[in-house]
Parts: sequence; C-alpha cells; structure tokens
Amino acid sequence: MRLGNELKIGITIVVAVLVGFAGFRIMKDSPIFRLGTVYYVSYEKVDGLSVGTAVLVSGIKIGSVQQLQLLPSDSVRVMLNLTIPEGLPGGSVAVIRSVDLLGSKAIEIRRGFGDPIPYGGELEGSFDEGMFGDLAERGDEISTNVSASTQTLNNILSEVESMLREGLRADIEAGTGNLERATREAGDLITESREDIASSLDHLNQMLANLEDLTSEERGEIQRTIANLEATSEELKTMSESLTTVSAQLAEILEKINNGEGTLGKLVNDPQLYNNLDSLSVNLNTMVKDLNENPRHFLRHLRLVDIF
Amino acid sequence: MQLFLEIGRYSRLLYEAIRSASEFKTYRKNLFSEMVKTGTDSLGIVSVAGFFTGAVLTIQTSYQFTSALVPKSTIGAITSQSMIIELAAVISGLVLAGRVGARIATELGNMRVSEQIDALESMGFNSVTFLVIPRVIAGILMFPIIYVAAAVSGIVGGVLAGLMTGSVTVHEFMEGARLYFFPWDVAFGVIKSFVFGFVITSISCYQGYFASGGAEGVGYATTRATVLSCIYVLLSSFLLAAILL
Repeated sequence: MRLGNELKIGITIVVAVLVGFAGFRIMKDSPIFRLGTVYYVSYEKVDGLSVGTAVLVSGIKIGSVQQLQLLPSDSVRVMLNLTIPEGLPGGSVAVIRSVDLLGSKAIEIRRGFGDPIPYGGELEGSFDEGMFGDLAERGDEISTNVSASTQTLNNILSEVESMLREGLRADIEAGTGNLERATREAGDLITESREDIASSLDHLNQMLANLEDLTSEERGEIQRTIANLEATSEELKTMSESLTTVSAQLAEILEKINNGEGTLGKLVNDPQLYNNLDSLSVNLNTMVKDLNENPRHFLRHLRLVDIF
Repeated sequence: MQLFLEIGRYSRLLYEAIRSASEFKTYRKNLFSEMVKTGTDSLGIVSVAGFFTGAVLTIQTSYQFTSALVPKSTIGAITSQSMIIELAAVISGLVLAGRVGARIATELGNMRVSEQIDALESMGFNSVTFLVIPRVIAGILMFPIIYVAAAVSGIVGGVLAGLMTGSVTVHEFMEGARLYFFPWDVAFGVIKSFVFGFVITSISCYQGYFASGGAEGVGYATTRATVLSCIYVLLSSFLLAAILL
C-alpha cells in the first residue's frame, strides 16, 4: 500500500509524541499510562532530595518524589507518587535517609498499622542524618585531629627512616646477632653442665635432709634452752623494775641535796662552813708562823725554860 | 563586503519567506512532501547515529571511571544527560546538515541554474513561497521529532552497550539517568532542535536559491550549504547553551 505524505507525517508525529511522552514519564519514573497514588509529606529540610528520588519500602522501590514545594514556614512539602495498588496504612512514616557514600538520598516508608490513609493524604516525615550526618557535624574536629596525628606520624616515620638510613640498621642487626649467639651459648652451657646441675641439686637435697634430722634429734634440748631463756628474761624484767624504783629514790635524794635540805644539802649548798674553816686555817697559819719566830713569846710563861 | 552582502541577501530571503508564510494554500502540498523527506525519511539515519553515540558514550564513560567511589549510576547519568542536552540535537543536526541541507541546496540550485525558478516567477508564482517556505517550515516542525528519535535511541543504545559490556546494569543506568533528569533539559533540547531545523533549512535554501554558474555552481552551493549548516549548527548550539543554561 502506498502511503500518502499526510498519513506518513501523521504516523511519524503521533509515534514521536507517544515515544517522547513515554520516555519522559520513564525518565521521571512515573507510571507511564496511569496516575500513581499521591501522598504528601512535610519536612523541616530535604537535603539531597530531588524530583525523581526513589521511595522505598524494605529497600524495594515503590515510587518517586514528584514535586518539592517550599512552604512559607520554610518547611518543605514533598509530593510522593507511588505505584502501589493499595493505600498506605495509618501511622506510616516517610524517612529521608542516605543510600550511598556520595550523599544520595532516598525516602524509606516504614509502614504503620492503622487504618489506610486516603489518597492525597499526609504522611509523617522524619530525617535520618545517618552516619554521614554525624561525621559532617564532627568533621572539623576530626579533620584537625587527623591532620595533627598524620603530621606526628610523618615526623616519627621520617625520623625512624633517617635512623635506619644512618647505620642504625647495622647496629640492630649486630644486636640481634649477639642476642642469638648469647641464647645459643646459654643453651649449650645448660646442655653441657646438665650433670653438674643435677649433682648440685642432689647435694642441696641431702643438706636439707640432714638439717631436718638434726632438728628432730635435738628437739628436747632446744626446748629446754628456750625455757631457760624465758625464765632469765622474766628475772631481768623484775630486776629492771626494782632498778627503776631505786633510781626514782635516788632522784628524790639528789633533789633534796640540790634544794639544800638536810646535812648533806647544807654541806653542799652552804658556803659558811667552808668560810669558817678557811679563816681558821689562816689564823692557824699566822699563829704557827708567830710561834716559829718568837717561841719565847709563847714559852715565857713556861718557867721550865727559865729554869734551864 | 561580501559578508555583509550575503547577510543582506539572506535576510531579504527570510523576510520574503515570512511575509508570504500566510499563503498556506500555495505551499501546502510542497510542505507535506518536504516534511516526509526531511523528517520521516531521516528517522532511520538519525536513530542509528543516536544509538551509536549513546553506546560509545556509555563505554567510554565506564572506561574513564575507574574510581570505586563513583557509583556506576553516574555512567547512566552522564550518558542520558549528555544525550538529552547536547548530543541528540547536535548529532542529528550535523547528520541532517549533510542529508537535508545538501538535498535542498541541490534541488534549489538546479532549479535556479536551469531557470525553473525564473519560469515560476514568470508564471506569477512567488518562488519563495513555493520553494523556500515549505522547506524551512518542514525543518522547524520535523526537527523536534528527529530530536526525540535521536535522544531515545541514544539512551537505549547506552543501556544496551552497558548491558553488553557488563559495565553497568539497566537498573544502575536508569537510576543515574533518573537522578539527573530535569524536564528543563528536554525543553532545552527541543528548543535547540527548532533552531537547528531553521538554521539548516534556511541556509541551504539560501545557498541553493542564489546559486549560479551551471553544474559547477550547484556543486559549490551544495558544498557551502552543508559546511555552513554544520558550522552554524555548532555556533547556535554554543550560543543557546551560553544563553539558556
């Protein structure tokens, strides 16, 4: 059949319009030939959400975001277009959450258990910051810490590297070698002197056994000695007590002497006796001197001399 | 001087065309046959060109993206958005600058050098109304359809190429494509295709209409028609992107 030009053009245009429309709907992720079920959710913020963002239930895509509208109160009203045949149960929550590392978002619907929400109804919305929200909040702090740590680590590593390069490697190797040799020698020593060690241990054992025998044989004697020691220490105790009283009495006497009480006290403390004795001895001295020089003076009255 | 002369003659031709655009009865029959020749008959080549452009774009993008941090869906986003915004319109424009522009310039040039245009004029027909207007209108009307064909086949080609090479699954491809699909991109592509349709057909008509010098002149006019169409397609694409994006 030969087609007329008008028919050809008509077919072309109709097909193009249909294909274009279908392609547009597919790209916008709307059902192609019927309207989906529409719900509305209000959010405080919708970071990362855009028209076409997937709406998931248990990870399965059931629709997409159709429209984002900024309300005068600065909250955002999101229109969801869902392809599920039945409505959502009451109490369902639409949670915005991250789906990958780059911050792509999806809306996940957590089903409730109430009466079905009518088409065009409002869902409850919430925003799940997720791990990356936390990270973003603490990002500054973490990044400073990380950079400081990296710096320190760098320094340490470069120091270690330079040390290794400056011949420490040889030292370490020598040290390890020495340690190995020492261990080997110790092992050899132990193997060689195994018999000596065994005999030493035998001797030690024997010695201990002898000691034990000795103590068990002389037990009675030792006990007696201990009893004597006890008695002696008891006597020492009484002796020290009497010594204590004696010294107290002595202290009393000495105090009295100090205070000038009694004969001894006066003797010690009163200088008068001494003075008297001193003047007496002076007088005696002169008298003896006088007697020596002038014996007649004293012997004048002794007529016996005259007699001679 | 030559440049200003050309611009003046081109403007005058366009003015004549617009002035007589209301005489629909005169060119109705020509319009439909031109629409078939320009639009319907070009769908095949444009679809093939679009398909392979999309396929190559997908493969090259997945070849270039080696980072594990970039999700596979980005490949779909890049392919589909490039096709919709730029490549569907420009690739089909370049293909049709050759296919349609050459045909128009040759037709009109031949009529000019064989004095058929003078004959039309002497019979009382307005040659611009009869020959130029239907071709330009056909171009403007049919290019959006060609754009749709190129865009759709380009995205299909991208999906199939991703599937065949195993670099990206249909789901990932469409996920990325949908994430970065904005209706304005489609509108921009359609606007571009209107402009390209007008640029290609009007320049080719001008070159053919003012051809001179026998068979050689016709060949010269055809060459200039295709070359200038290509250049002005790219230039207007740049200007539109600078103005509208």
